Amino acid sequence: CGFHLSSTAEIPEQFKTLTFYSADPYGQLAREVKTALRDNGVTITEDHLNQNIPSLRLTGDNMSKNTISIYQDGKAAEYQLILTVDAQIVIAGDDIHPITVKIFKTFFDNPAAALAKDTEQGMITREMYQQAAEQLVRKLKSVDVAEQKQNP
Amino acid sequence: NNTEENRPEISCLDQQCLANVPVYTKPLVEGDIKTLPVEVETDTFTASAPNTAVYEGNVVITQGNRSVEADKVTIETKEDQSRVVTISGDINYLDNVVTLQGEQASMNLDTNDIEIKNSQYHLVGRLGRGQASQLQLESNRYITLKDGSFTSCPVDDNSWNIQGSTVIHDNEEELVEIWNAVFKIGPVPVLYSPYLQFPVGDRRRSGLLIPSFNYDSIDGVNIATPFYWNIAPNLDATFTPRLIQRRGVQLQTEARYLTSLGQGVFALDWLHHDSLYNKDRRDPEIDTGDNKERWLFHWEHKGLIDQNWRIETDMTRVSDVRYFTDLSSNYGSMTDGYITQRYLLGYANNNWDVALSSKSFQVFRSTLKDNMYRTVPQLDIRYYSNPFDSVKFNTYAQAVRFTSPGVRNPEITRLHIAPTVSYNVSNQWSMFNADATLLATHYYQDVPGNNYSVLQKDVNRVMPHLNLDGRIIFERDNIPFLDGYTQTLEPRIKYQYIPYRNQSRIQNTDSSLLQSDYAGLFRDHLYSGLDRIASANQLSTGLTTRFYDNNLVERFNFSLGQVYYFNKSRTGDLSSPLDQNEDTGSLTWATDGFWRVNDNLIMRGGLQYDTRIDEVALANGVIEYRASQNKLAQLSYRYANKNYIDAIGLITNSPYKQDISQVGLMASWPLTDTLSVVGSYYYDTKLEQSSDSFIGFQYNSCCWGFSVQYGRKITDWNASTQTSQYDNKLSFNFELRGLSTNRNTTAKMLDFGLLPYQSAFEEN
Amino acid sequence: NTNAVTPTVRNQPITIDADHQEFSIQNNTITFTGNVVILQEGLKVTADKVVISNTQSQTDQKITAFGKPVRFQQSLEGNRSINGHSQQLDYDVRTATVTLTGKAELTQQDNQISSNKIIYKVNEQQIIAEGNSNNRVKTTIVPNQLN
Repeated sequence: CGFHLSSTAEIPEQFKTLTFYSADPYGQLAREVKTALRDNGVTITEDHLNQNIPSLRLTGDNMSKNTISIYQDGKAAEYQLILTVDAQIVIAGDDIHPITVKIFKTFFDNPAAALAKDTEQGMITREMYQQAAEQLVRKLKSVDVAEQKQNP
Repeated sequence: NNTEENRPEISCLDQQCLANVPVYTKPLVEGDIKTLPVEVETDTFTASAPNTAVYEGNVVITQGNRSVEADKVTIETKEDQSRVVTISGDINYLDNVVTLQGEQASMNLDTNDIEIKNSQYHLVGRLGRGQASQLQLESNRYITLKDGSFTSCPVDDNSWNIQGSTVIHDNEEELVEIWNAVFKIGPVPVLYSPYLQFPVGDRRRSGLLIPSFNYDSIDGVNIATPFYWNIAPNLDATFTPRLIQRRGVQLQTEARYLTSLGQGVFALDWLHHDSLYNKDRRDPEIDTGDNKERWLFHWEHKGLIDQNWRIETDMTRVSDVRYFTDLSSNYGSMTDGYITQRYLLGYANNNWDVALSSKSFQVFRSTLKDNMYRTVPQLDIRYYSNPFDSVKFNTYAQAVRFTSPGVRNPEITRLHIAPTVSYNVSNQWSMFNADATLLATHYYQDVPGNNYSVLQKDVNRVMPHLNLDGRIIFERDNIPFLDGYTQTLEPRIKYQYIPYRNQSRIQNTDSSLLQSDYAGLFRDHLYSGLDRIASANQLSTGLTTRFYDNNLVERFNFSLGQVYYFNKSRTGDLSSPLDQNEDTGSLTWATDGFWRVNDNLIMRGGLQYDTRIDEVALANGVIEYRASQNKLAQLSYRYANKNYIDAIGLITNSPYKQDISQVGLMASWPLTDTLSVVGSYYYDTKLEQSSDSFIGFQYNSCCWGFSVQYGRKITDWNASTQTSQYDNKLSFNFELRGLSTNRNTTAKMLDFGLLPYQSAFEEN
Repeated sequence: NTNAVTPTVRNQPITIDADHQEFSIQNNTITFTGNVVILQEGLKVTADKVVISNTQSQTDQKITAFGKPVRFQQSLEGNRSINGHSQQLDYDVRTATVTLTGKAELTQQDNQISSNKIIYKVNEQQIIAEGNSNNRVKTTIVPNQLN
């Protein structure tokens, strides 16, 4: 049915080398994004001044936790965690492309095992950061197409 | 998706409001006002020695961005070379900040200040106008009014205005301050306040000081009048006295601070005497504390000090278990079963991430209070070797002390170390990862009364964990009916091996059986935490397919996977359903997917099937249509199987023994430019009862908004009648608009019930 | 001359030189044409044609100058000066009043006035400009640069 090994690289040519910026460079999200970039063959340089190297900037992330289903006694059965990551690809210093990634996860709460549930939430949060990083990398392709359409 | 810029949604209502707002059309002139020449056009001009010049007849003065029209203008040059301009007769002043009309004015050419008698003013480019007996414009920033008024209503609309002995507009801070403020609706004075302050523009936090009115069937009328106090540039606070008819007067205070060690929020809510609660305390049925006052304390802090050091706290404590059921607060919801007190001090750099933390909980069911465990303290150390080489050596180590208020619960110290060697290779179409971890854990369990029949005092547990994980990406471009689209097919396969270790002699404090969506199938462990590490000899396989449009934006993806257990996954803890089940083979299946039909329509869904209970364990789906912030409709369904909930160890007492089969509809729809309806209805098909629903109407004009909302929701469980208890609530909300770009009032209305609106769209 | 003229000019001598000079007894006028320059202590006027009428009476003697444009300059104390030009300049000796008409312009340091008609009373140091509906008086004041 016409499938072949993926030729278009996950990472467009112009993003093979990137500078990376995050306000919290050693936080979990930044670490996961750097790992995801490296796993996809991107070299991260520190040469921030060189403007013809595009830069991936993490501008903000927010985790919200809300009740999504309840038991008969009105207490929360499931919580939904939504991780929103806002980033930008800056090309040639001023051409800014915003990227937004959202990860949805639900988990059951249980007041009888508060610590276990809190630990589970911490673990799920880690997984969400990893999935957000992977999705961020996947979105580089669409930024590349958008940028080429903008200034061919 | 990310390629469209999110156009600022200027609703047609806003366009009508801004119809006759003065606009500054000329190009902005930069430069110091002192050096800019003053051009004057007039019918006649008379300059007489030594220093007075008189302009008469349709005089027009322009300097930089300012222009003044008047009948007569006199310019006198004083000895100190400063020039005072006196203007009279039908004055019309315009600059890029404000327009003024008046009869008599004086202006200082060098300091750019203007003073005008009984004048009208209107902000430029946005709503905001009024008049004053005496108005002063200083350094192009402050507009100071004596006996002035302010409203954000358009010119022909006098719905409300605020009069004050002194009104100061600060156009840089985008803030209006009013002393001796009288708030008038039409001609009728409604509220007096010695001092009022609120934002005009988006810079400042909204310290909106307009009272809100609520009525609900349990508490009665509920009136809150917030006072905003801007203590310092890095410290501000809001005090909200709240009159609750059947309870008493509560004071809610919230202070926000910004320091070099980070920023944070302190909050203290205090209700000295709660008459309804005192009645509840006499009813043995209701689970209350023996406290009289009802208080809430909350402290949240987030500090990152020169990028490596991290200080974080997130703690909330309340006076009794029913606090959130009875009283509303931003820091907890009535659906919470417990709240957390968390403190953390961390250091991180490229290779290390060390965090010292402590966690404790306040559980809202007295029967469960005693089996809660705290981690006081907990030390987590993560080492990451050089990330470049394909063979990585990471390590995770942890030392933690578990304590519990339950007198029969042991106090446990746990030391854990898990070095991992991993080999990772990837190219554009594949990724392969193999890692081997050694999990070594030591427990010291101090059981009260030295009763070591079940638990063991010293326990060591050492077990390896092997992982082989590979994925390949196939792709094709020519897809029938979808030209320009690209489809990928991404098979993934992961084998895991962990030998069995009997952990029945170890107290389980932080492990709970995890729920596995598609991503969860490839998770390293079946339990959270470390007290239960299940044996594993399993193969997870999965297939993901994605469709990218011609802009390579992902429009659709679908994943299906399973876990095949070569032999039984066990922990030795016979109380866990995992151990009670003898099956092997392909036990768990999971699928999830999303389809972005077009810019306004999106679908998401997921399903998990578990052969151990031979039924669908979990299923959920959501379809959302969204055209704008207040034109949206979302249909959702959530299913959780009772046996599955039982299997993951949740069922402890009767109210939970139920399937969850919840259908929900949530919508906000504009009926006209100014009137919109907002509603939600959540219904449990198994219990055949609604769980949470409301209906609301919202009227928004240019400078004020009014909403009324009626809702009915489950608040408690009546053990004797074995039925859910409901509460209905009617809420009125009056709000000033036109001050800053109007806050999304619809969003606030959609959060009215137990189940707030959560958009399925990626961009919010 | 460095010492500027004190405002009272009535009794100062006026010198006029030009390419041609014509004297007419019946209408009692003198007409100068071609590079006409009028000089009087602190005051200088250059024009293409100048007509002096009522030559005998000191009091109602009038000087009318025409040019494309007529230029006028008067220096004041503190080496400040007033310059002006217009299509026609009338100087009433008795009232020491200079009247510029027709695209008249007057500048003093950087302050500048332009109008259809500008009247400059030298003794009172007063300037009056009158515009009409279709060309208005325009003035420019440069705030005193802080040196």
